[in-house]
Amino acid sequence: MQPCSREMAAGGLNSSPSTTTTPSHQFQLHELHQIHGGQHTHHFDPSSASADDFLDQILSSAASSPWSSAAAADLIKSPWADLAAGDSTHDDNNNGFFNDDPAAINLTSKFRHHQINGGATNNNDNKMMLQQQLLMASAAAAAGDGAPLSLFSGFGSGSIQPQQHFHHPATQGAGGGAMQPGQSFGAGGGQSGAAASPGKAQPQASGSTGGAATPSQGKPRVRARRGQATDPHSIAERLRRERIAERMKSLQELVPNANKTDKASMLDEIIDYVKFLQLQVKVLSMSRLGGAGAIAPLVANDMSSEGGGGDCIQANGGSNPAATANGGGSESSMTMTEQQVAKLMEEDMGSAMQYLQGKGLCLMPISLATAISTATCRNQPSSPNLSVLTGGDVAVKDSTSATKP
Amino acid sequence: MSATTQQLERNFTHRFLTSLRRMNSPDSKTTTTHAAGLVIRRRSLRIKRAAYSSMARAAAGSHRAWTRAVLSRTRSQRRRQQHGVRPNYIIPPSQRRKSVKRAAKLKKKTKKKSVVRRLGRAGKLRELVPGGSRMEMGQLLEETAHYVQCLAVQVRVMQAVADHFSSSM
Repeated sequence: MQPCSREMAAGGLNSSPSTTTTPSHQFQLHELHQIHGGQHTHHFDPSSASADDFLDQILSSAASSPWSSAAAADLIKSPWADLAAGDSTHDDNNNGFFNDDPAAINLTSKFRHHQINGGATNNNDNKMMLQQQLLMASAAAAAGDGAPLSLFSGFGSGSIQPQQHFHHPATQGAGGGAMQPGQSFGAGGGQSGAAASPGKAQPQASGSTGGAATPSQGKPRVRARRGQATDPHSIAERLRRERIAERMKSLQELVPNANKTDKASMLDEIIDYVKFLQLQVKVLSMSRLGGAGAIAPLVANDMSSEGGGGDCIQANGGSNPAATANGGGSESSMTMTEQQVAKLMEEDMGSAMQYLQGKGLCLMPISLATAISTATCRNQPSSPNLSVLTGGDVAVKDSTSATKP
Repeated sequence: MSATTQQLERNFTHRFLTSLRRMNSPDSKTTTTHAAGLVIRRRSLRIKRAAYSSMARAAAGSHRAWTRAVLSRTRSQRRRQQHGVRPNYIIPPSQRRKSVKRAAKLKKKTKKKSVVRRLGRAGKLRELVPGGSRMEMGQLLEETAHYVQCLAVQVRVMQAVADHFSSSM
């Protein structure tokens, strides 16, 4: 049987096998599609003992494909050797899938050969095995393992879910994606192959199922995927949470003082900032109307409620009820501040200045203050709308109603 | 992002200044019977409303939900000012507080009705951002980001305008 197999293998490459007469290489492609299920009845004995043992051990788990128990080594090795010899002639068959990866090119062509030469009874199993073999070979090429071994293991994990679309696009996808899971698959291929089929199926889903079957294999990879694949609701929620986190991050860049890592405190910061901006718009819309006299009482009320710079100028000339309503509130705080500042000034000017600055106020000579107020509010009556400290020739003026510092 | 910000700034400035000019020209809406302080307050509110609506119009190119909410709020405010608030002007000051309270309660009631979702901090944010009560969390955050951006532009422009006008006066 062995010479038969050799002939078959060789025939698959460049000469006519017993079943067909066309020697061209493109024939292989068509054969691939034509040969379905079980034309091939040859069983090949393993050529080398070591490979045979390993292969048997692996293939013992794969009971569904009789032809694989044979000397798959032959199938693998001989086309491999032949391929190595005649690689250049197969480029037209490769369709440029793995042109940059010679190992992958070999695999592709080998894969075709096996499809032709194998002709397994179970078409699906055949395809699955070849696909896995291809993946394993590509993984082996990446890992630098012995190609035959990985191929064996690929064959071994052959109790496989049937795969439908086992054509070149599939191989491309499988080969492309095989580099990553291929490694662990190669490690786990020796085990029961019921687990991950890293083929066309989503690697994640298979990884999760594989995780259930082989908990000892590739643990970190499987653990990460497990929660993701099992529940569609959790996937949707995870997506939503990721979206929200991403938006929070972009908001963090907009808002100043965004050094908070906590989501709740970040939200508080955002809320405060939005309130602050809205307040600024309000203040500015009032300042347009000309002068400290109108702004001050309303600003005082708002500022004291916000807690920052609460003691602003008190409008003495305003006859509006709103101003008096607000002014009454700020009046007491203003006198308190005045007293406090006066007390501080007795001991140390610097501390008084700091106290005022903490409130958003500043000290300046009265002459300058009157000059500024007459400059900003020309249409107001000449009485300066400033509350003057009894301390002397200094005045307290709110920094926001002055010109921009 | 600075290109869009600059474009937004220019658009907003143009609209805002146009609306201010329109406001300054004598119009029939302002009656002279009410107190001076109210004039100022009314005018400040109008300016604020003009600022928000011009900002919403300037930013409307990005198809944000908050712009629509701001514009609808502006329109309802204007309508309320025309119909509901104007009778308050001629009410004598003794009774004015009562009517103001009534109007405030009505406003609060309508506001409470529309605000359905008050989940802690997010609820506060929903209140602040126009139209926020109708959005979900992800959209709310997105709208907040754009809103903050536009508010920053608004503040910058208004500050510049105020400085310009106050210094030239």
